[in-house]
Amino acid sequence: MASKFEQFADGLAALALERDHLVVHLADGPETSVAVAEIVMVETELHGVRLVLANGSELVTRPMDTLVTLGARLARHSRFVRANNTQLINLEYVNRIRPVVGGTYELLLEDDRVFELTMGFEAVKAYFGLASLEHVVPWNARLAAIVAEKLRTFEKDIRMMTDEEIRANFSTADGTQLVLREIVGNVLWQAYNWIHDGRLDPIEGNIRSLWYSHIKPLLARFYPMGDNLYKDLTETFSDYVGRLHIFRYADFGLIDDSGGMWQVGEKYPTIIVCAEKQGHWKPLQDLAAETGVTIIALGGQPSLMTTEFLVDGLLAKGVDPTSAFHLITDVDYDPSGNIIAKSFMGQLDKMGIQGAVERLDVIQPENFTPDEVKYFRVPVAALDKSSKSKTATWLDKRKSPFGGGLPGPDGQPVADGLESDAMPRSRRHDLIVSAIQAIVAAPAGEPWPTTRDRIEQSWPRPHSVWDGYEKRIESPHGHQRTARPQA
Amino acid sequence: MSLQSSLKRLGYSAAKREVVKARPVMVDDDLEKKLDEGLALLHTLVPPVRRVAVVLDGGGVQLLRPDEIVYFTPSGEADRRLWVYTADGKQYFNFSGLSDMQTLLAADVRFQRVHKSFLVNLEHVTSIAPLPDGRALHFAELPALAIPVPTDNLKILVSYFGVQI
Repeated sequence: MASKFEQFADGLAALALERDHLVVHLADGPETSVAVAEIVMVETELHGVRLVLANGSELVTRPMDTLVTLGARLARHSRFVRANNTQLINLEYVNRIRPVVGGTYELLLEDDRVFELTMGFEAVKAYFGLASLEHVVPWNARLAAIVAEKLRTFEKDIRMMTDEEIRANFSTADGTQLVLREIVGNVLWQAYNWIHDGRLDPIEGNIRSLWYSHIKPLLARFYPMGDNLYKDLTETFSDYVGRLHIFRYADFGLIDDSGGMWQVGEKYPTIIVCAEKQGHWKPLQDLAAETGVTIIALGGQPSLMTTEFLVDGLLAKGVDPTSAFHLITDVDYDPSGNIIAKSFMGQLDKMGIQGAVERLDVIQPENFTPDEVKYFRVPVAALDKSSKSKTATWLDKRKSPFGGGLPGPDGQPVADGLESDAMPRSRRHDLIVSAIQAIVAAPAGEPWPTTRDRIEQSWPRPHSVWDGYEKRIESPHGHQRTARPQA
Repeated sequence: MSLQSSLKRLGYSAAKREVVKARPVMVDDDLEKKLDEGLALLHTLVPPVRRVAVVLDGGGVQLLRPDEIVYFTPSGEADRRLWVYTADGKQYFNFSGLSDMQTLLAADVRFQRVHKSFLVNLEHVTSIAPLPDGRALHFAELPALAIPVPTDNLKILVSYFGVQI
């Protein structure tokens, strides 16, 4: 640290700059001296430049002055920064910096005037000693989310607030409209804090229970009831848990809405076998007993809450979340099955699994016999625009390495799929067990593609649906198959 | 003659020359004390740290002048928030540790860690009251506030205010 003498000298230097004056020639003739500290902004004029002073007055200089020449004369004052093409701003008058879309910023002055900051970012950071213009450093994303979502502490139970109080607390800035997300968010936030503080009993039900006890009676006072409002609750809840990490489902004492169809493996917890259908829960339990892997029956689109409970269960067993995980899926070979597996992987990431999750699908066309493919293939329903788009993505192997459809009469892929239940249960079991054994036996550090290829080569594959086709189609994993239209 | 008027007469370069010239002979406590006073005055005129960044509601950075800050104190919650209170009664926060903030403001002699949980701008102190185990700092701008100073830290007050407390 500088000695007191050096600090004193530096202080004097800063004070001298503070007292500095600038002599300018005005457009209408005379010269005038302006205290540099009083200049708020210098702006390009059609002829000359305009100085805006702290007392609100303005001075326009002679035509030969430009922003560049004035900037050069003010160069020793680090407080002046070229904020954009037409303005020099005195940073001493700036008290807020706000990021705007497109990677630029706004400089807000104490009197609420706003200027664009499209250049000179480093100069601004250096002047204020900031590590970032986006947010303070160090940064706490959770708390920032709480601020951004306008979650506040209310002493009064929000549900008991009068209509006037609700409107006063949760309306848009102009007071004309209620902000639904802000109401739902604050009710959840209050419930979370009150349960934490012991002022409210844990819900000990599911999200529906929370809807009936906390949200529906309140919203019914302001909105016509419909399923969309319940959806607003589940979406806000899921966003707060999965994306913003403001709280977790478990903090509310909610009961796992999957009915607990998951189980952490005793021997190989990082190998997860997931089934799309809850009807496969019993075979999954048998598999877990036989091999010691983690199992979960998703029941269609996975529930973020269930994934949270599963991840909590893994962590409680001492599993390192940075470990490499393997996900062996038993999902239908169709767009929905693919999306379910992808969603589940995304949820594992959101809920704290930081290691790579490698996916292996058991329900692949190559694991069916030709007759099974011929007779069990089913068209993928694509009734609306969204479904058609998902199906098109699934058919395109460049976008969906685990998709690709089945060959049509002309050898081109068509949107046909295969149900998981179309495969005999014993074969499904054997394929999964051999995959588990191969993963467990893989040498440490072996790249996943090598292990995966070894597993697929070891599987007794009845046939390739593309065998004999002339058209060559990219396989999910980079190698090619030969395809020819079936007779 | 006041420091401000002296500086105005001398200008920066001459003043710096005088300070450097005086350095070898400034050996006694009295001169050291005067230097402290001079620094405190300089810091009120030109703070060595220009701004303290706090969270801006809605995203971005709010910049507080050190002059307007009365004190810092950690929230004590798991979120590790550092509360910043200003003379107009408003409160802000960032995520710095109190010690990190103390380091940031080390060059500004007005800010002193008078208690393990409080970093205070002593310029805002308007009265000091006795406590059984130390003193309490009071502030005219924040009348409800009393920041405790344990006996072990009274030397900070003595040094800053230049009188026996």
